[in-house]
Amino acid sequence: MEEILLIQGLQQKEERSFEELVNNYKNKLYNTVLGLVQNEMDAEDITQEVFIQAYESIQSFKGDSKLSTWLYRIAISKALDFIRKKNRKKRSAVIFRFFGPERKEEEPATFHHPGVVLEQRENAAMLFKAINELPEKQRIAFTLHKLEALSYQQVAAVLDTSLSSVESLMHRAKTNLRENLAEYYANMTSEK
Amino acid sequence: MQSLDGAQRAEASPYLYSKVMNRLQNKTASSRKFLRLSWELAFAMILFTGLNIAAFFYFKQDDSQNDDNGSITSLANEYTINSNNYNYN
Repeated sequence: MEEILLIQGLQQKEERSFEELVNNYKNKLYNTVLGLVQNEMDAEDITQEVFIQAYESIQSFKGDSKLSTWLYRIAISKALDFIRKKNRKKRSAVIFRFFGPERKEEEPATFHHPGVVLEQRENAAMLFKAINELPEKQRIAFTLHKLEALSYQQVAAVLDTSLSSVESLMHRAKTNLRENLAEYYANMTSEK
Repeated sequence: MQSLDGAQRAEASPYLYSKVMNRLQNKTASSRKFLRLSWELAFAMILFTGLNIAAFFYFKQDDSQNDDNGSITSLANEYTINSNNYNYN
């Protein structure tokens, strides 16, 4: 179905169009969200929320951007909200630990992306840990480009910014990642 | 850094559409329930306020009648025109 027909169908709340939307975009959005939240169950939950929001707010879609760009934006905003909420919880847990009984801190589980080849699993896990340390915009640009294989032009459309800004974001992201990874590997070798 | 090169796209659950539809239906049902509850609550509030206003005016009227009787009694006492102790001789 052509995009314009799909949008019209969605605006008329046709179930068939909605099913097509979900089937066309579920993997793209799930992969993006998974790259950001780094947990499969949370990613699936957020992806469902993305489609619910798309269904409810399709009337406000004016067609200024491509449907995929609009969906990626919803997915990113939902994923970032989730991460912020999680970080707030972590911070408040740190404060409560001063007053409450001492509890053992839960270490975040190492994330293994299901699409990464087996030989690269450990390196990729380390890379994902380093990606987590990046500032929000750099993390989004890097995830969309590297994991979702979007071009710089497409990333710029999703982030509603210029091509040169994306180039700069990617350059800074790579520099920061190199530094973070060098630190991790240095710590690992000193621990051994 | 190159460990993500050639990584496959992660695939969502094949039942994602059913799950989304299920959540949408639950959401609609709960929002309908909430709307009904809001209407019921609003009706109860209006009824409660109306009854209070009615009770206020009813008792106010009653009080003003009592006040009138009270002032007549006090006037009668002041001028000793009490029906019980008035001397007709």
